[in-house]
Amino acid sequence: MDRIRKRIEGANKNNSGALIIYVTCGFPYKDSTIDIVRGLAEGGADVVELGLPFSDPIADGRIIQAASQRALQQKVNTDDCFSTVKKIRENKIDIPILFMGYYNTIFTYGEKRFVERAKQVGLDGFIVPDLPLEESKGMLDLLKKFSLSMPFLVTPTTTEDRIKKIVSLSSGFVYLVPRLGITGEKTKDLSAARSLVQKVRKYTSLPICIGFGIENKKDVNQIFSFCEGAIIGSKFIQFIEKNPSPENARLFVEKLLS
Amino acid sequence: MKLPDEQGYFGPYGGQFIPETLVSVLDELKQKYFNIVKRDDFRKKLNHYLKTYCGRPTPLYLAENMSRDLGFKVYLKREDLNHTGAHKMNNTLGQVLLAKFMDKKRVIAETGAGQHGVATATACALLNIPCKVYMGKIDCVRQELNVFRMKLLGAKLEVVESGSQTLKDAINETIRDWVTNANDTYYCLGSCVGPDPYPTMVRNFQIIIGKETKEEILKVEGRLPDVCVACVGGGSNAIGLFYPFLDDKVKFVGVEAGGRGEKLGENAATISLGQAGILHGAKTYILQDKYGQIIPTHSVSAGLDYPGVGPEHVFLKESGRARYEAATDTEALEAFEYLSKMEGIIPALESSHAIAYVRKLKGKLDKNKIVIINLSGRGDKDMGIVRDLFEAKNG
Repeated sequence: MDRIRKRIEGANKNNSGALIIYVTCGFPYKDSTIDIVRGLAEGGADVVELGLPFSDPIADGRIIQAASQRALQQKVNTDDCFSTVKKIRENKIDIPILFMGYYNTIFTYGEKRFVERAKQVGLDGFIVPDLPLEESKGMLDLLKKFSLSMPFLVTPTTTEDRIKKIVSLSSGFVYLVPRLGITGEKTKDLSAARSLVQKVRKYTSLPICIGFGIENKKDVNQIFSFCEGAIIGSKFIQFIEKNPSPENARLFVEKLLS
Repeated sequence: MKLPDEQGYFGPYGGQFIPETLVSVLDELKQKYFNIVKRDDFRKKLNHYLKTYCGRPTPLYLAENMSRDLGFKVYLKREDLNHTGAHKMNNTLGQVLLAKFMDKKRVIAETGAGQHGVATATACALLNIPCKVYMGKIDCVRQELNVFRMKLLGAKLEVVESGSQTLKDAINETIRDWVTNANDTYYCLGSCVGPDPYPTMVRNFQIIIGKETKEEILKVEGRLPDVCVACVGGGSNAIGLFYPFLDDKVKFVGVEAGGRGEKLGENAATISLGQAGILHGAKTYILQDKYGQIIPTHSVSAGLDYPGVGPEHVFLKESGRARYEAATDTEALEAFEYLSKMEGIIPALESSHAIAYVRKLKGKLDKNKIVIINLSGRGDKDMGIVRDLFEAKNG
């Protein structure tokens, strides 16, 4: 059962598309995350990407780097992130949740121990931006065993041969990056992603979601016009920093989906 | 067996742990690198520059006074006599020339102490290609003169204010630039670290150190050395010296930065005190906490101040082929002064770690044993730091 895929497909049936929101776990305060996720779910977000703080996030821009740094300063560790998810589930918040984290965090914890713990606390899957498919065999075997999802990324430099392999190993959705670069810089020309989306479609029926540099309602609507989901991270981090209340998180989502 | 394997692994270490955007970029780099380095026009040009611009071959010097003092024969491979003062040029000339052959439009590089930044800026000035160097804010302050040198050479300097504001964050920021400008940009990485093919490529450009050393020692001594010693930060000067002796009966010792002691955060002795992990695109040893967060390191020598190490060194360590020791800040400073007074050669603080280790062998080796130390760089760049430390010590 792929809860993430189901949820995204449902959102496309009932609404115009799926909204995925990224927030760093333990940001801005160690205990903020449950409130934020509650608000996101109430507002109508479809999936939450919970960032595992890492000291050296090479795929992230300044905003998410700073959020990660701030969480680390407050001593947020991998076990805290797992117990946050556990508490979210204990609070009857059912929204699908993915961890977005760098591979060293997983490797150091131990792949097997990490995936087992994820299943235990009620996580739905992972995105690991520095784990290309060539290095992912161990993780994929474990994910299969525990029925968890792992979307891989497709970028403008991904060759067609690789797209084939990537979509065949992805689950949940395919994470499409519309431009070169890191998170947090405005993606100016979203229409350029259309041809990449078409290429990916040739090889999979998985939903396609676009992230990196997505900022506002206009971006989201444009994405919904040609694929299944939009992912927003840095903009939400900026928005939620000053007032990490459930109401405020709900407001952010409602505005985007109104 | 010839290492790395096709996936870029030295035993269990190495590989490519990188964002998807860079996968095809590294594929292209790997393929073009192996084609281009075989070409006559590339090799001729590189050898020409190494000889007439860099000053190679560098001499192998019998350190007479030091040998007398320690009781065995000590030779110094004089990489400090290279243009810009260290072995770094061997690599940057090779890589920047490769960038030209690959028709790349700009070169980016990270730097810690500034030596690799200066060497990259130099090669880019020579070969007429725009250059941008990323350097941590803290390093910019402690190596202020190198900042000026890079600017003088025409490089653009980007001060990195994220994370620990030192070398590891400079590498992160250079990778981010690379992900953003993957199509026209060449990343000139400064040590045998990073994702495949960098550890191999950098090693191969540094092998010239060991090749020359082998010829030179055979010529003067008629036999191979007993021990080769080199300092290890990322490990490029060490692997360059060791590699041509890999199949010979020659012992290898890599000397890491022991800093102020063995406590986590007080040193940069990655092989001696770190564990397996993933940093900057490779599986290797790193200095990290139990959750895999990278720990800021310390060494008196900025060039060794790095929480990772080349994956091939980890392989050499685990397979028992090489040994890795640490020398503390204090020992390195004493060795700095020792070589200056003993031989009239002021070594880089990095290379002083190798000297410090060899000094500990006094009286322990037979008098006809031969030890070769890679004197990877000269100490001019360290004058400010060492003067301050000496003044502090002597009141």
